[in-house]
Amino acid sequence: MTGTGEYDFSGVWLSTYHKTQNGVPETDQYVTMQQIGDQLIVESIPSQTGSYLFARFTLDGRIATGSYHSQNSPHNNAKEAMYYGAAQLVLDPDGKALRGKGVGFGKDLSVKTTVWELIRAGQDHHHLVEPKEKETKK
Amino acid sequence: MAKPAKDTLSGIWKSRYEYPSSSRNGVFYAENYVKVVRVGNAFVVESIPEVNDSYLILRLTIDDGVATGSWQECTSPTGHYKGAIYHGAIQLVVDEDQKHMSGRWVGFNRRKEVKTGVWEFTYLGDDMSVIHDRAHGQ
Repeated sequence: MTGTGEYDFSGVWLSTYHKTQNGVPETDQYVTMQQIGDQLIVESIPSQTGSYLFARFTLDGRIATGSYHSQNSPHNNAKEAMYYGAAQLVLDPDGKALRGKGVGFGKDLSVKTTVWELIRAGQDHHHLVEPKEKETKK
Repeated sequence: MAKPAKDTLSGIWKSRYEYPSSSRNGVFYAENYVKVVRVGNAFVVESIPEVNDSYLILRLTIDDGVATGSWQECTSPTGHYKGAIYHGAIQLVVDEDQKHMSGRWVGFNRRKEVKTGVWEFTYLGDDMSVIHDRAHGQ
């Protein structure tokens, strides 16, 4: 599988994690993407929540395989904890969403799977609503 | 989290991963004997040709007991997947004694759905004699 030039990754995408296929979204962040050859770089747009996401993928047709780093918001449960893992996402045939799974260790050092989706939100983020901060459990 | 790398992990390991098969409706396990070669904070896992029909290669980076990277498998030409090549991402947690690694993989299937499963590695010894001994029931 080759040929990654036909898709346009510009603009703003909404990144959402779920613990399970039908689970409640854990976090949502707006991100931008940059494609250089077969490399795809994803970085979150700074927001009030203070969380940060960075991912690098290699594209093979519609398959994106790579790794991510994420730093939680200082306001949520995990308080700025830095996590990282590996992920594979498949680009929808219309190029408007990347959907797949990530694997990453948690606080107990066991590797868990998350469902991860990146959905194209628009050309810029000025009209978009700030992602909701997840409520902190006491 | 980075610590000075020790040249451990290199040697012969047994690999065992689970995978779902939608065409055969169930979860299956694949076992392979593999060779691990570590250089600094990176290591490569490669199947041993003499004792494997499929070809498997993983490239991982290790950071304080957490190994993150990618895998590729060229399935057996005579097996159910008829030589198809699959690739994906993986994260493993390495036990303190460096004799066991376990974690999860993610990877697309024939329908371009990203699936996940457990992947475990168990250290057998320094050289190929451990496989020959096993083959001869010693």
